[in-house]
Amino acid sequence: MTLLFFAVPMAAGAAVPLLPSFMRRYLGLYAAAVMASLFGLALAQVPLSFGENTQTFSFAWMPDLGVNLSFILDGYSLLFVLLITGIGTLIFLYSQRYMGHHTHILKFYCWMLIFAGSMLGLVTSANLIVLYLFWEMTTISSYFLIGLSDENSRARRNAMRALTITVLGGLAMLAGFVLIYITLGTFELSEVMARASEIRESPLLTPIVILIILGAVTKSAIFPFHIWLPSAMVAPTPVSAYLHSATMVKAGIFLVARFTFVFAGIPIWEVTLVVLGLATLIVGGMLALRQHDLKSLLAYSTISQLGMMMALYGLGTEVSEAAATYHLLSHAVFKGALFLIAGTIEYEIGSREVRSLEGLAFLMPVLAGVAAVVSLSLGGIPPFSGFVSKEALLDAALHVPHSVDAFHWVAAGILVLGSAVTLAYSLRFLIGAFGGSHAGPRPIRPSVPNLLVMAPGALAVVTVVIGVYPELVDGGLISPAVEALAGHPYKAGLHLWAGFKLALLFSVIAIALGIVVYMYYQQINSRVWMFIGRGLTHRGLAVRGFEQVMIFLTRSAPRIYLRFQNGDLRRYIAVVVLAAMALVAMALVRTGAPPFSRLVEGANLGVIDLALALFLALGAAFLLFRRRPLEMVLALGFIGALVTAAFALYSAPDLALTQLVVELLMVVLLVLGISKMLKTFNVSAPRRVLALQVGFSAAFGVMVTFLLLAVLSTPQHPSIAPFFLENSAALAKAKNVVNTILVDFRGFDTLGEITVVGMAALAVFAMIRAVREGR
Amino acid sequence: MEIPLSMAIGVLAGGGLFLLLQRSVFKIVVGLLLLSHAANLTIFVVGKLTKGGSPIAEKGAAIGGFADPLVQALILTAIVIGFGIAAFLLTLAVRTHKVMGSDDVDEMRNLKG
Repeated sequence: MTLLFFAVPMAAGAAVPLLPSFMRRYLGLYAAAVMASLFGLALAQVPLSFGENTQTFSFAWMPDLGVNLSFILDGYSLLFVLLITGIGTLIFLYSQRYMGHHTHILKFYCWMLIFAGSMLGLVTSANLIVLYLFWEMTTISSYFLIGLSDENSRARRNAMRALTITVLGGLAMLAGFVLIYITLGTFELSEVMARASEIRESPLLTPIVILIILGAVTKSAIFPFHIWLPSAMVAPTPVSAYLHSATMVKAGIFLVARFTFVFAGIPIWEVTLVVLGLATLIVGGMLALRQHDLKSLLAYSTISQLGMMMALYGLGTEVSEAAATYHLLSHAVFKGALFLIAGTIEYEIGSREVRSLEGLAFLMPVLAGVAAVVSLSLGGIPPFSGFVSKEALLDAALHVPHSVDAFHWVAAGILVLGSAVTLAYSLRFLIGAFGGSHAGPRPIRPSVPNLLVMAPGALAVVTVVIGVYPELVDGGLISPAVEALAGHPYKAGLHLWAGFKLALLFSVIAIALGIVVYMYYQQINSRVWMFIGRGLTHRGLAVRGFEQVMIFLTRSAPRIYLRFQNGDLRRYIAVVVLAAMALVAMALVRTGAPPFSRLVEGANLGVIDLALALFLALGAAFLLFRRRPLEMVLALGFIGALVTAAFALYSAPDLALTQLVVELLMVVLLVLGISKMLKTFNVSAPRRVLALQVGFSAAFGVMVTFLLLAVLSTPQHPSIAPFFLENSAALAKAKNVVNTILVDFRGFDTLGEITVVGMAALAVFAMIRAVREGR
Repeated sequence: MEIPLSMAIGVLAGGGLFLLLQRSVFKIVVGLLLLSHAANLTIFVVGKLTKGGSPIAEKGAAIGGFADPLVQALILTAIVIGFGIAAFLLTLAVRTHKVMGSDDVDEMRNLKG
């Protein structure tokens, strides 16, 4: 059941390229049907999602690593599932008309559906690794959707920027999860929640908190990682509305909310989230006020609102969680609608530039009505949902277990300021585009398609209904969601009219202040925010700095790479050998000199042992001083004979026989080879290089001997040879133990060996024939 | 018994490395063969040297009377594979020499497609 939510959209997305061609005109309807059926399914679960009835599913995937395909459908997941599928349905209906005959229509629906599936998987996953996988899948689908028009270099660059920032954050989050695993030995979310106290007492607590926050703030475009979101607006409007406002950017919020239970009250968690969140609220809001492009305005507004939610979840009380959860729902609804309205304006007028738009209310009265509802909701005007959530937010900031201290007063003050700025840019959006006289721009299309008004219209209806009657979602969605986060029953109690409380006063102040800010925003823009404002936008210093770092990295990487991978065989060998020598030296420093004296004790040296070793060394030396290939081959044959003798002497007849045969064959081959090649060597290295090579090789030789003696002088594990000796006759029915190991106990090794020799033989044969035929 | 043989192995390994560092492909082949001798003997020595027995599973046979059979099996595989690789490399050298008139790896680097 829980699996359907992510599996169905993914399968539907993968199937898009395979659909019959007549379906290509109705892909929006196809995708909307998929999402609508899942929405219905999720809606049917609403009464079930209380406490005991939480649905879970678990399948052992890699149990040894603690990775299970675990899914959960509790109150909080269900809220997200409803958002993703509900808004998804409307977005796809809208796309049916808006995307029309877009060049990349197949890619668009394919990735949108896969994104929807990944996002649904993310919010229902109950195992941290599974959550990470879906997290990155949303990042990847976002990358392809931002860069949908891949012939546009700006789209590609912006997609890359978003990918880089969010993937880095995702990796940080993964590292945090691994630290949790190191602490608890589990990736299961339920167990992490159950054993929260162990994490809170762990010495790894601070790194875990920082890494998880890094993941959340990059994904949710929190200051100072917000720069990727405005540049992601290069994507088509449905993508912006769906991924970059309603759903994907809320994944960071989701993560923080899920972990509130574990980390709530820990100073570094609370302070970091509240400070970053509130900074984002103000910075994003002020930057939104500066924008002239409708979509950019909405992008910065989204950043600002995400910051506010982040701060609220960071406070970590049930009241703040309830307020943030309600705001999350209402923000997804009205922000999604606002993006769609911006898209409709662009579709109809061909421009999103607020300065060139005027009097659209006369041209598109219905759309203007819808826009009024949703932008006033964003601005926090009653009776829309934005007002209810703002009330709840302000109330939550002042509603703390202990007495309200300076920290919370400041937080509440900033929330008021933020709400004022929010109202100001909402008015700018509404009045800038729809207000004014008849003298506005002319439409480029005859009439507004109904779908492009109905989709945002439906969302506007939702924002009115849940604004006027918040009790509707309170009992069924918000309270169960907070219950799931807090781990015990909770009743949120959201109302349009919450009574004469401090929050109401603050709300009134915010609205008044917002109108003032709107009236004087140009002055504020030009004076106060001149400097900082320029630095932080998607065209500002922050992005330029980021680009410079990327350019530096991509330029220096090949330089480092070419230094090591320059194609010089000798350099590779030198690096490998030097690394090996360094490792041996390090081990030596750590353990001290091995007990060589043990070797000398039981030594039973005969003349023959000494002579064998001496001749081996002499043979090798002789080989090195020969200038002619034939002499070298003779010396090599001599050494081979001595190795054979060594095997025979030290009780290894099988080896001696094999070595003898191989050595004979090798000498024959080498002589044959020489006859086809040069008789002498015509290149010789300069004296200095030669000296270096000699020194290097001598050091290597010494190291090998030293290492060997060190190994021999330390006690070794008992050999497994007795097993083979005992079982050779019994199991393999043969008495020669070496043979039974080769053909029976380790038969597959030998099979591999035969394969290698066979392939070498084939290659040798082919090349010999080529040489003979003179090619 | 192990000490002198270990020293000889060091000479083989050092000599093998020296030849590997040369520019002639033929020398590289010879160096590789020297190195594989050194490697085989290294495994052999680590399995402890004994004299005068063979690993036949007769009644009363016990470990210690002959070289470790597992080590022998490993070396046997290594000998054969080393031979295969050396043969392959040698033919490759001959072929390259035929095409280029040189067996210098530095000159081969400059050869393009």
